[in-house]
Amino acid sequence: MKERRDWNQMRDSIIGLGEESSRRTYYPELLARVTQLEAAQESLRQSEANLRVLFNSLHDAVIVHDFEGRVLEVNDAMLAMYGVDQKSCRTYNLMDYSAPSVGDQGLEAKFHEIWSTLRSEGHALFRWKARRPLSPGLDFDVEVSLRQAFWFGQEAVVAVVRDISERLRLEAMLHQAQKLDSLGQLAGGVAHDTNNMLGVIIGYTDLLLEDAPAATPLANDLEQIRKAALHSADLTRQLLAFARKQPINPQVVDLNVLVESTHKMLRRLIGEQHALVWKPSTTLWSVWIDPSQVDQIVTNLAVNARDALGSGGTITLETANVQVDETYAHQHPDAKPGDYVVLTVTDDGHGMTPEVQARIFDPFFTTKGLGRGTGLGLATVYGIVRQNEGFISVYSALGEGTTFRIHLPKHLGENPGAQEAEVALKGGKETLLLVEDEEALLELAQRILEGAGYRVMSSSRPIEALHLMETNSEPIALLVTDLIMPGLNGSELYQRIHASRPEVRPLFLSGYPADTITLQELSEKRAGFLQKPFTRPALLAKVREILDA
Amino acid sequence: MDESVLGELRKFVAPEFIFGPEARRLVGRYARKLGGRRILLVSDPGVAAAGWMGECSTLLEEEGLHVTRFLGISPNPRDTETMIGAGIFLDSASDLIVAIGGGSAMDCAKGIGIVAANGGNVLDYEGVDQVPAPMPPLICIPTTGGTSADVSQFAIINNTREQVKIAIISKAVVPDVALIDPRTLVTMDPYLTACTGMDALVHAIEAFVSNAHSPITDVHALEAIRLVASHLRASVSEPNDLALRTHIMLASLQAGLAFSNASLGCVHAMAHSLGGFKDLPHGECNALLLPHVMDYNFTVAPERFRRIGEALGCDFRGLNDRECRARLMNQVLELRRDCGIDQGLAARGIHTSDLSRLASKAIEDPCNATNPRPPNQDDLKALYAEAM
Ligand SMILES: Nc1ncnc2c1ncn2[C@@H]1O[C@H](COP(=O)(O)OP(=O)(O)OP(=O)(O)O)[C@@H](O)[C@H]1O
Ligand SMILES: [Fe+2]
Ligand SMILES: [Mg+2]
Repeated sequence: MKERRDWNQMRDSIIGLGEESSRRTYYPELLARVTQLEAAQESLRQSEANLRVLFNSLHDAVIVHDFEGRVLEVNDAMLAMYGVDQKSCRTYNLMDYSAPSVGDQGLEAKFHEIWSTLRSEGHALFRWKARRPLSPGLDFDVEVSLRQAFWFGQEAVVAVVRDISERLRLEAMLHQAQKLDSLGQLAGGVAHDTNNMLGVIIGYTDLLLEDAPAATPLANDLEQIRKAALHSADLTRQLLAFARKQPINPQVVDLNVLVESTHKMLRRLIGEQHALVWKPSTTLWSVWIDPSQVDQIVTNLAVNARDALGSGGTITLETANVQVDETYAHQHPDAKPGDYVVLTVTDDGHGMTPEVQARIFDPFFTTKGLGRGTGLGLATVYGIVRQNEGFISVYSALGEGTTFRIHLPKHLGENPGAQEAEVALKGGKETLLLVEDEEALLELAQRILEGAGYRVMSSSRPIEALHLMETNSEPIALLVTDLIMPGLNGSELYQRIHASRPEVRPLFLSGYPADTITLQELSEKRAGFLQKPFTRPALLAKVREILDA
Repeated sequence: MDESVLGELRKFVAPEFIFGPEARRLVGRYARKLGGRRILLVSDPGVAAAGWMGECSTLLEEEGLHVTRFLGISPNPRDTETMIGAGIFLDSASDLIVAIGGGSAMDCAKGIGIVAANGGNVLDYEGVDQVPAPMPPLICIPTTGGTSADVSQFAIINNTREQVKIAIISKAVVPDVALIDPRTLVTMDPYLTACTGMDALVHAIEAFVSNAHSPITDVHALEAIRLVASHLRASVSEPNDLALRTHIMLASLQAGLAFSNASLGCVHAMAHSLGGFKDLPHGECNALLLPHVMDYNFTVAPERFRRIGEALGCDFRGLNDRECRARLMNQVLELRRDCGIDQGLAARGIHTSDLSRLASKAIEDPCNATNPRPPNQDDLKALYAEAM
């Protein structure tokens, strides 16, 4: 006999008072529809999320607005660009996001004009001045493209806004560089001719001075002429430096040493009432530059700083090693990434407005009174720095002083040895061939050289000079020639002579050699170079130096 | 028992039902009201042959509904058939089920609904409250006077592998609407009339003595017993008498309301095992087992059996329990015989050697839970033996 079962639990569940025993209703179609709708909704949600990611990944700002200028939707880039947040962005109207331009017919009218174009064309593209509602001082330039759209069934405009202030800034800089370049061409050309004339004046003055008894009024007058001419020569040298056509004599230098050596001169220049602080970096890379150019830079910046100071200001000179990275280089189109030695000149003077700052490197731009400034100081500095493949950055604000940072590339190569020492003023007996298209200069140089004992064959025309040499079997020790001449230039002339008489060495004379001969060529030809205008001692020293080399 | 029942919290579950002539013709309106657009019409070949299914289909289509028909049902609906039906329901994108027919069509329809809503195999839902999700809307139109699947929370499915009928008992399988139309009964042959009528009687008796009976179920159970006792004989011999058919249909409905809420007993537990084994008509099995189970149960509820006897028309005045018991058995056997259900299990191909197996299956049936006398397997085997 089997055990009787306990059926009680089964009985209770059949009676069915438990929660599981309640009736439920079922409507499969509805259920299926709800499931379908939920799935569709979910995929819509995801798609919406995807689109939002795209929307917010755009670099350009997107503003959806209505035809009353009310903001309907913006992306993250818009918030960043205009300095607003999701909440506040809608409290401003399109007017608040625009900078009113003076003399316009009014923003509102302008908007309506654009919108009517939009309505007829379907799209519009224009430049605009945008405004950050919270910082109206920081207006920026944008390019706006508009499309008509429907936004939640309402007529709307989708505005894609691209910040082009950076682009405009680069364009302006490029424009500035081009302007300076063409000005440089002009200045260089003027300087070249002026130089020649100055050379004549200085040369003849030197000759007269030689004959004039010392300490007489005549000697004194001649000295004054010579001084004025030298001063003018300085001016042309500045112009040439600006035009980057100044012949230079670069060497490996330690900026600390060079700046240090100008200290005494600067002290005098700046005057007693201002402090001069010098903060050399303890370790400093060397740079490859003509030391006289460093003098020019330091002097110009220091003088400008002094002029900006009231009474009792401070000028600070500093040096430092700096690495320029891609980001910095990107922001400063002049700059290339790399290692630089930076010379900083800071003053706590009156500073500059952005308008002045925009023009300081223009030649002849000056804010100083007539006769006080030529406006060539910074142009010169600019030229020098560019010539040495460096760049300048300026930080200044009105009333807050000014900082100039001169970046000069770190020197990477070997030190080719210090430049020649002082050469004694000596003449000689050798035969020289002198070629110079400027008759006055030719005559002057001939007189100087013959006066020093040399035998000189001279010509103002290169072809004639060649002929002279061929018809003359006499050995020629040195060719002294101008570089820029009609027909055959100095370098070409030397090539022709070199073919038949390889022993002849060249000394080139020029106001600016950059166009026709490079420093490298000069050293290959074991050539000498003398910048015009030259003084008598300079010419004689150079000739001797090459003959003795 | 009476005492405990009175102190208990009780629930009465019944679908909305419409009883009366031409009730079946409301099927289109109800299908539409319940939100149906594509209807799975479940029926069996016999009902189709009698024309009821075609008429129903037309009514639905006239309502603008799409109809898919499913007729692949045996007299005892099989799990396999149910699964095929569920596949058709899903493939045809149906959203509502109409079952028209006897217990087989309606139970199969319930199985289809369960699987359509819950997946898996219909046999997974055997037992009480095992159906998690409600099924699609179900409209039942009974065409036999007995099964009462149209109002019950029962679905009986034939487990073909185990050769046993399993019971799914759940509120989820109560139809949404039953359209109970006595006119559909007129196409039943006499033997089927007898079997289904006896089924209704067994439903009523088992519900009445169930240990889960309640005052409400008692009313319906007694009334059903009275109606069957008074009208079944006549209805078997006068198949076209609509008034008689209406009485039997009403008896079936009331018996259904009673047993759906009070549950059944050992007769059904044993009949499920027997029907699954031999594919015999459910009502026939019940009729063969009923007297023996009543006899077995009598001692634990003599008072209630007296009332059953009275409803059956017995005069128990002056009789003691033992005499009552004998008179009651006689009364039931007489009714059965008068309706044309003769002989015992042996005559229907059951061997003594089958009895252990039948009992072992029967003891698993949940209907045992509400039998007034808790049975064990040997009791059931002995009862089968008596019914041979
Ligand atoms: N440190 C400074 N602080 C304020 N303004 C300055 C400073 N340096 C230069 N500037 C402005 O830049 C202008 C141009 O300077 P730049 O040196 O080119 O010419 P300059 O000093 O006027 O004349 P000069 O040719 O005699 O040097 C100056 O007139 C002045 O307005
Ligand atoms: Fe039954
Ligand atoms: Mg200056």
